[in-house]
Parts: sequence; C-alpha cells; structure tokens
Amino acid sequence: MIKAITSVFFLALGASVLLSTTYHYTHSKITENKSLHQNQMLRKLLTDHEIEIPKATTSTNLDCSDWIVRKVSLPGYSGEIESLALIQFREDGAAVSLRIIDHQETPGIGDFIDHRKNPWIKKSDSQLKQEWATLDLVSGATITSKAVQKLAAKSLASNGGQCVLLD
Amino acid sequence: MFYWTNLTQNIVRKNPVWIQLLGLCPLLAVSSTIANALALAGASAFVLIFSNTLISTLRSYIPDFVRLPCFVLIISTFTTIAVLILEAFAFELYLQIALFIQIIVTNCAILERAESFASKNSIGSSFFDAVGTSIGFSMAIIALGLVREILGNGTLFANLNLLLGDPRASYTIILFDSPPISLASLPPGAFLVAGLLLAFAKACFHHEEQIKQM
Repeated sequence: MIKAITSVFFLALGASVLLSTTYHYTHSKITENKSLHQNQMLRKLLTDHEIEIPKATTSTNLDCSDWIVRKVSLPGYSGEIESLALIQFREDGAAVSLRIIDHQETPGIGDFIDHRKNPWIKKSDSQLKQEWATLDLVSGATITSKAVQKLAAKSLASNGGQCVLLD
Repeated sequence: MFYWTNLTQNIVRKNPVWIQLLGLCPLLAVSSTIANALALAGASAFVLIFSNTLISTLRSYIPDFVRLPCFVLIISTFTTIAVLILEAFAFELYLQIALFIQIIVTNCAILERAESFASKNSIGSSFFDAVGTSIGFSMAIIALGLVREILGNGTLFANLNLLLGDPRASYTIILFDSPPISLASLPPGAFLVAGLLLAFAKACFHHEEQIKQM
C-alpha cells in the first residue's frame, strides 16, 4: 500500500514538473496567438458589417455613437463559450451580431455555433433583441443554442465595451 | 533482429486499426482531410512513443494494482503537452481539431500498448513497438483521410499549410471542381469509407494468415 502511494505520488510530481515546464515555454506564444486570432476575427466582423475600422492612432477620441464591440462569455453545454458581440445602434433599437471566439461544445453536434464551420450564426447577424428571443433552436443541441441566445441578451444588458480592440 | 520484429509486426500484421480495430473514435472523427489526419497521427505518435518508453522505464516501480491510474496519468500528461505545443505552433489547426487531440487520452490503442506490451517488456523493444504502432495507425488514418478528402471535397492536401506553419502557402491540389460524393466528408461517410477500407485491408493481409492457419 505504502509503495503504491509513494509511486503514484512521485509519478504525479514528475508529471506536474513536466507540464509546468511545457506551460512555461509555450504560454507567451499561446497568448499571442489568441489575441492575434481575436483581432483577426474582430476585423472580419467589422468588415462583414461594412463598418470602417478606425485607425489605432485616433483611438483616444473615437466616435462610438452607432456601434460598439463587447466580449461576452457564458457557460454552454460543456465549459465557457466566449464570444465577440457587435452592437449597432439603429433607429429601431440595438442590433446584435455574434461571433464565437472559443468554446468546448461537442464536436459535430454543438460546434455549429462556430462561424468557420457553419454559417448558422451569421444568419442571425444584425438582429434585434426580440428577433434573438425567437431564434430557432437546433434539435440535439438545445443547451448550446440557448446559450447563444443568452449571449445575445447578455451582450445588450452589459455595460462598457470598446469601439475597437485593434492595434 | 528482435527489435525489427517489434517494429514491423504492428505495421501490417497486427495493424492497430485494420486488424485490432482499436482507436476508431479519433480515426473516424478527424480523418476528413489529409492535413487533419496528419496532425492527429503526429500527435498520437508523440503520445504513444513517449508514454510507451516511459511506462517501460518505470515498469518495475509501478505496483500492479495501481498500474492503470499510473498509465492514464502518463498518457494524459503527454497528451496535454502535445495540445500545448500544437496551440503554440499551429494555432489555426489547433482550432479545428483541438477536441480530438485531447481525446487521445482515451485512445484505447495507446492504453492497450501500455498495458499489454510496455509494462512487460524492455525499454528498447517498447520504443520500437510504439514506433511501429504509430506507423500503423498513421497509415490507416492517412489512407482514410486521402480517400475521404478526394471523395468528399474533390481536393488533396487542403489546409496543409496550417500544419506546416506557413499560413500563406497553398499545397491544395484540386482534382474535381465539385466533390464526387460529398457524403464521404460527413460522419456517416467516415463509417462507410472506413468499412470499405477495412474490408480491403482484410482481403489483402488476412489471406496469408488464413493459409497459415489451414
């Protein structure tokens, strides 16, 4: 028994040393990749909506009167779903467009929310709050599609946001 | 010559996929293109070779009744390392197949090699056994990826640039303008193509075995 405990203990210790070393050397590169990816996605989201991307040099006094970008996240079926929400203020109300940055939904069942795999989420682009509320849920992925619906609602309810995150 | 047998027996005669029918879950899920298949084959080979060698090194220190938790711990450590490396150096590809790389932990082909070979044999033969199994698994998944990509997308080597690290280069060869059988790239098509390939492999390699048995 003692032998079993000590051997599992030392094995776990060795494994954690190995993992933390790898984490140490890959961490900065991973963060860099993630922010690059997010910027690319934001740029695409803005050009999809024919919004001119403001130059970084003028970022101190940007005019945010007709659109804003917010980062929202919510728990989905498994783990957090992170998304970028573009909110456009129009005469008839605030319209929301969503893009999923990161998720852990079941591959093949819940990953239709990723716009690179399925155009599903693009169909709801620039929809108003009441239109999001009547979104068609996908059978077999009720929790996932409801989470997307809630993301839209949450993005409208939250404060803050940025005109632009680009460098 | 002993190592040579370890290396070659898992490539064809005891191929983990075609003959032993192990590791079918990632095989079917990720073989839609050659680029995905290569990435999974590489990650599996990395995990398999390191875990097999380490398990064989530690085999006399691991008590028998906690061996399975220990094997799973070692395999999952190397899988996490593979995920981190992929996330740092092939991020676009990681976004596509991240979840499938993570489930290498539960790939029974790897646990089976640990349990039935590495825990009983020397470091050298375990290493070559893992290399052989990796080659066998890669052959199977790349064959499946090849057939499915040609039939399902009508292309060859699409997205391979994501794997090789140069985002602008393109290695795509377009064979057909519209996919001949687009079902092949969907999950049901994976089962159909895999079944046909299994039958083909059986017809080719089992013939010899049956003659020996008779």
